[in-house]
Amino acid sequence: MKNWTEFHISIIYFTGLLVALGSSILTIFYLRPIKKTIEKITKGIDFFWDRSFKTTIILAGLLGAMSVSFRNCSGNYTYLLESRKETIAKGFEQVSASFNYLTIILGLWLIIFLILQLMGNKHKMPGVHKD
Amino acid sequence: MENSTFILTYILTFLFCLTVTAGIIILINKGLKRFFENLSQDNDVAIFFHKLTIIIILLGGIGAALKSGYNTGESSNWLTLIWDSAAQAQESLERLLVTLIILAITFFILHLVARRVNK
Repeated sequence: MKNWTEFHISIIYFTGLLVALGSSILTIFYLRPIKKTIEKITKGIDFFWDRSFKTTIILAGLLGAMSVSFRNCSGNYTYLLESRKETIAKGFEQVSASFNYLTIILGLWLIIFLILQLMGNKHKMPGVHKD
Repeated sequence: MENSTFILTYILTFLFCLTVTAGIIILINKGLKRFFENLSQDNDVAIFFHKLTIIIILLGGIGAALKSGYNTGESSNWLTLIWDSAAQAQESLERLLVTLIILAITFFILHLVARRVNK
């Protein structure tokens, strides 16, 4: 009987996906109250922005984890059956890639919201001292 | 080398990267809060922007620190272990540097735009 089988590799793979999904959901929870704040930033048209924001965060987390391939250059996964260390490292790589995607998407949203905020607050900008 | 040596080194390096990330966040926390309060002039929006920036830095630092390219084969020794550990820390520090630079440039441009629009 083999010590490290396809079943174990699939457990690592799906755990990576679940951790990525969990981190995306936790990020959304951490940023609450999102809807109310986006409403203030966009001055009322919050429906599109709120849903897009949440959806892209979850998709970015999942896509990041999915972007890591468990196959090698020749399309084989047999090297993982021989080394559990390498399989676990692949799992960590999934979470790492998921965090990278999340960082990029959140950075883009930050810039979008900052620009929207600046456009909305045109008449009461900071650092302005009118005589 | 034993498995536990690799795991211990990986965890210690990860903790180091986590500490550096947390240290940077603590260092810029106060300034960020004031910047966003000044920029948005609304407490809820300022808190949202502040949280968003913190999570970007945190995910950037941790994401890079999690990646490991450790050589665990028979050719590995204490020297390759040190190099692998240094590469893990370097990846995290590099990501933090890039994230902070991009954020700094963005805030700088937005600040300039904000001043210009009001002239």
